[in-house]
Amino acid sequence: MLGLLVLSNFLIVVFNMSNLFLEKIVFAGEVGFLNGLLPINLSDPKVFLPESVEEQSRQIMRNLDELMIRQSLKREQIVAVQVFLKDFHRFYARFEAIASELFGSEISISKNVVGVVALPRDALISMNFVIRANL
Amino acid sequence: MSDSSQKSSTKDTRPYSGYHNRPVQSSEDFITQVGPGTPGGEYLRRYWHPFLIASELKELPIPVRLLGEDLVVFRDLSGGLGLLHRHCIHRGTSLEYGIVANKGIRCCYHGWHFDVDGRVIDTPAEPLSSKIKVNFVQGAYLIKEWMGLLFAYMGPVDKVPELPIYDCVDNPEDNQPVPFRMQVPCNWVQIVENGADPIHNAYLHAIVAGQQFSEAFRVLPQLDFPETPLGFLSMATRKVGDYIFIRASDIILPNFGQFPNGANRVEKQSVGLRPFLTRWSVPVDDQNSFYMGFAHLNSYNSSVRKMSKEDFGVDRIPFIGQTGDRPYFERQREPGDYDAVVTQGAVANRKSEHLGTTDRGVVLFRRMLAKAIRDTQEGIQPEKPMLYSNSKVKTYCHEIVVKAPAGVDFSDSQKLAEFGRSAALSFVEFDHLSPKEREESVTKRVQDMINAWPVGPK
Repeated sequence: MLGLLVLSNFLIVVFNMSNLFLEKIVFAGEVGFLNGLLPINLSDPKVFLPESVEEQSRQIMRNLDELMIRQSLKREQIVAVQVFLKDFHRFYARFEAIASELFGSEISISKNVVGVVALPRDALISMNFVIRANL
Repeated sequence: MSDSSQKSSTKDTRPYSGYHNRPVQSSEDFITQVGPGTPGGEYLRRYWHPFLIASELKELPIPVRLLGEDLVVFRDLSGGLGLLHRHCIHRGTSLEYGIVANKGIRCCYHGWHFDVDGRVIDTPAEPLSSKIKVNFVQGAYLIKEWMGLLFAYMGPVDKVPELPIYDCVDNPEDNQPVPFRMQVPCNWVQIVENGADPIHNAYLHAIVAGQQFSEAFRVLPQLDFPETPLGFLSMATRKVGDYIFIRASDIILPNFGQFPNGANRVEKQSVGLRPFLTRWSVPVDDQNSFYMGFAHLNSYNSSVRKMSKEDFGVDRIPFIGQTGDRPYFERQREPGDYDAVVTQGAVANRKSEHLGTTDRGVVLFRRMLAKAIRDTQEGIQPEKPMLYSNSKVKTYCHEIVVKAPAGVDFSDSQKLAEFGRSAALSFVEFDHLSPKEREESVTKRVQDMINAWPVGPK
């Protein structure tokens, strides 16, 4: 479960109150949710996080692929992504510069990006995904 | 009455004597101050300094801070580059909100229009008889672009040096320089000193804080700091397995450095006049800096560490511990250069240091820097990287891996150090040649030296 505390118009603190290292996409009917995906190494969370926001973004996408494959899902089934960025002013442009690399330019995904004060594991980025059950 | 806070350290060697051995507070600023009118700042203003990756500058002006001055950089609609004092000479509005014109920039507040060289083109609200245009200029600095970096010259306009073009970009033939810019919240001298301190490569990058460089760096080296025409080599010579491994970084005053990559596994012979990073330690102000420059992507460097140009950029370099963007507890577990250098303090307290024999490079740099600053104070032009007969400025950063002669006792560390020094300085001896020819000549020289062992280097 994800808790949000609105501090101002721009700053939101994210409390990830469930298991820090989510390993499953949870479905409610035809819609699946994968929240709080971090740039950790899923097979060994003790491994250090990558240092840059670009590499952390790529690590999240690798984790996404791994979790989707486990449940026989494909990237094309992603409907929406919500991106949480620490230090929004420094990292937003850098994240957007690689967004098409991450999500593809052909596929239509609803995306929003939010600045936050802090993230679990002191990560620079975290993502939530909404996934449909069938293409 | 004794006052422990005034005592110098190291006098009291009793256990638990923290009360008696507090660090002396430093007021040492001769080599660290960068602002206008300071000795160090005046010296630095005799050189070109990079300050931005050219691709960062798009259609809008960017406020920058450099050598303690607030500036604004822009590219006008004709492609001209401007670097002006940030605040409009009229009433002080920041020109970061200026409107870029076909020629120059126009202040948003009252429309004063400045060319890229600072001359006033127009003061539209003033009467036609106004002399403002001829009597005043907006402060401006020269700006040039090289290898994807923007360089500024902020010194006297009658003493503009050439923009140095270094030979490091030419070798090997497939070399691709890729720019990067890293912000570091500390004084620029600390960043240079880190490069002049090769023993930290063994401890911070191999033995103590994690295996960041290759395992070859766990071998403690013989250090040396031979002088080159514009600075010195910060070098380490090791006996690694069956090989002798020489690694030499360029330190060129005031703030230029070149470094081989740290991934050489020392498994085969090689001679490479091929830095991995070419960088400048650029003062933003006394307490903040950039180190920026370009990485050399080529077959030589990629043979030991795979890299792509996407790995480099603003606050981005594919080597652990170069930013403060890592989780704090991970930084504590495996600190990197950023953590070591920044935590010395915004301006390191040099009066509380206890220097050892391995700090000879740091001391040499401080002495050279202090002398250059004093020379500048006395009106003596400091030495600068010069171009000769259209050739590029010679640099000396290199790695040498050579098979050690069998049966030789390397317990004589002095002999090993002398071998490393002689081999490294042969790159200086042959610097009238092209980089490729220098590599060939040094390879032959080093082999001759090996064949002459144990008589050793002459």
